[in-house]
Parts: sequence; structure tokens; C-alpha cells
Amino acid sequence: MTLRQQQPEAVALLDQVQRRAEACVDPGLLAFVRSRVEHLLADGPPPGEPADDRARAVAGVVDQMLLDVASMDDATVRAADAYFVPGGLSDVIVASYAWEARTRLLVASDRLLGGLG
Amino acid sequence: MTTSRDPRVPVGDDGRPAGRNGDLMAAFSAYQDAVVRSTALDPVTTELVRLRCARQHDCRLCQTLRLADAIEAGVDDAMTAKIDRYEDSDLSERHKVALRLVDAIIWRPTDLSEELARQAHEHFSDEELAELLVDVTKWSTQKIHVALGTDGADGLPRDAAGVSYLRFDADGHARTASA
Repeated sequence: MTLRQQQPEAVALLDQVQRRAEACVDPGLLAFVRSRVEHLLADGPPPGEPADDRARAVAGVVDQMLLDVASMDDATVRAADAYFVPGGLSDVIVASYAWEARTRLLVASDRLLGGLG
Repeated sequence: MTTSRDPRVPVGDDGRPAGRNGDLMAAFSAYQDAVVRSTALDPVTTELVRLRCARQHDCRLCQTLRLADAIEAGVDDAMTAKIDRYEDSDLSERHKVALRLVDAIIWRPTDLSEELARQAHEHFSDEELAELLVDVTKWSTQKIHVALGTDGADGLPRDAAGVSYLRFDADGHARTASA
């Protein structure tokens, strides 16, 4: 059975988080963030270059979250936060984490169950 | 070892990031609540999984908490002290396999080997494994707060050992921790 069959409510609600993220985060930035997640966690294709300084600053936060969040430093987050209104960076990070969670579930469920479904 | 850090973004009265999108946060909370409502996995394994995530991600808040259900099921300080060096401990093989799975998922999920998958199926049902997977993603939402520096535990009531106890209601909502 797939993870979706085993945990239908949770997986459907994670889908809903993705849809909410798509409604409130800049589509280009969201696509860029997702490509970094897939590259670092699931051997996806190399992400493209950041489109601008905001994307470059966000990439610093996203990459550190993926690799070792405990080693995140103030400067990395504050550099990215400077490009957003209050709450904006938090929304991007939640959107990034939701894709990270989906990607980790996708890979792990392929190995342990019948895939994500 | 926990790190000292201040919030890295503007926060509201609740200590959480100010100005967040309400619809996104509501959806995110609904996901977490649904995961918590799952009951296939025993509370002891759930707590070991939760604490492994907390310590690997250095979440101050989550390391301060203990799940009350798990304490009632036998989790104690002696057991939780074994999590960091679990491979060298006398934790059960089932619990070691659970922690190996946590490590694979939270670091490099593509490193989850065929041998570890075999061990997982030897010690857990598919229903338990499905819950363990979503559990790891629920507990690891702490990464958001660690990244933003909003994972402080200063407001929690604690007992003499510095621990705060957490329960969830039938809807999966966290109830106020108590000392």
C-alpha cells in the first residue's frame, strides 16, 4: 500500500499546504526553492542560478535548513528577511519545509512502502 | 547541546513570527494535527522518534518537552539519555531501527538502504511505518522555528528537572504543557 493509502488524511492535508503555499508565495521563488529541495534531498537536477539577490539570500536559508538547521546563523536569516515584509520570509520557509517534508516522504515511502501515491 | 539564539525575524506577542499568512498556517496546523491523531505507533517509540528529531535539529522547545502519554507508558530519563548514542545502548532493536529510520529520513533519505528497509519490516507493520514517516515530518516542523530563532522554551512551566509535559486532545491540538 502507498503512504497515501495508509495515511490518507495526513497526505491530503499536506497537499493542501502545498496549494496554500502556491497561493501566497511568489511562484518563481517557490519553484526555485522547490528545485533546491529536490536537488539536495532526492538527487533532482541541479537548480538554476538565483534570479536575483532575494532568491540568493533565500537559497542560503533553505540550503542550511536542508543540510543542518542547527548551524543556521543570524546573518543568513536576517539577510533574507530584509527582502520581505514581516511574515513574508516565514511563509517562504513554511512553504519550503512543506516541500521538504513531501520530498522526504516521497523518497522514504518508495523504499519502505508502495511509494507516496 | 542546546544553543542560545534570539528570534531572527520580527515576532508577535506569542513569540511566533509576526505577519504570517493565516491560511497557510491553518493548513500547516491541520496537517500536524492529523498526524498526531494517528495511533498505530506505540507512545514509547513515538517519543524516542520525537526526541531524536529534537536533538538532531537542536530545538530548544522540543527538547524541554516530554509526551505525557509516553511517560505513562514507561519512558524515563534513563531511556531518553540513550537516544544520542543509541547504537551503543541497550535500547531494544525495534527502537534502534526506529532511530535509524529517523536519521536516514532527516539527513539523506536517499541513504535509506535496502538493509534498513528489511530491518524496518522485521520490526514494524506497514501501518506503523507509515505513521513513523509522517511523525518524523510532523516533529521536524521544529526546523522552521529553529531557523527563525523562535524555538525558545522560556515561557514553559517546568518541573525541578526542567521538563514540561505535553498532551494532545482528541483533535490533535497540543494542550498547554504543565510542570
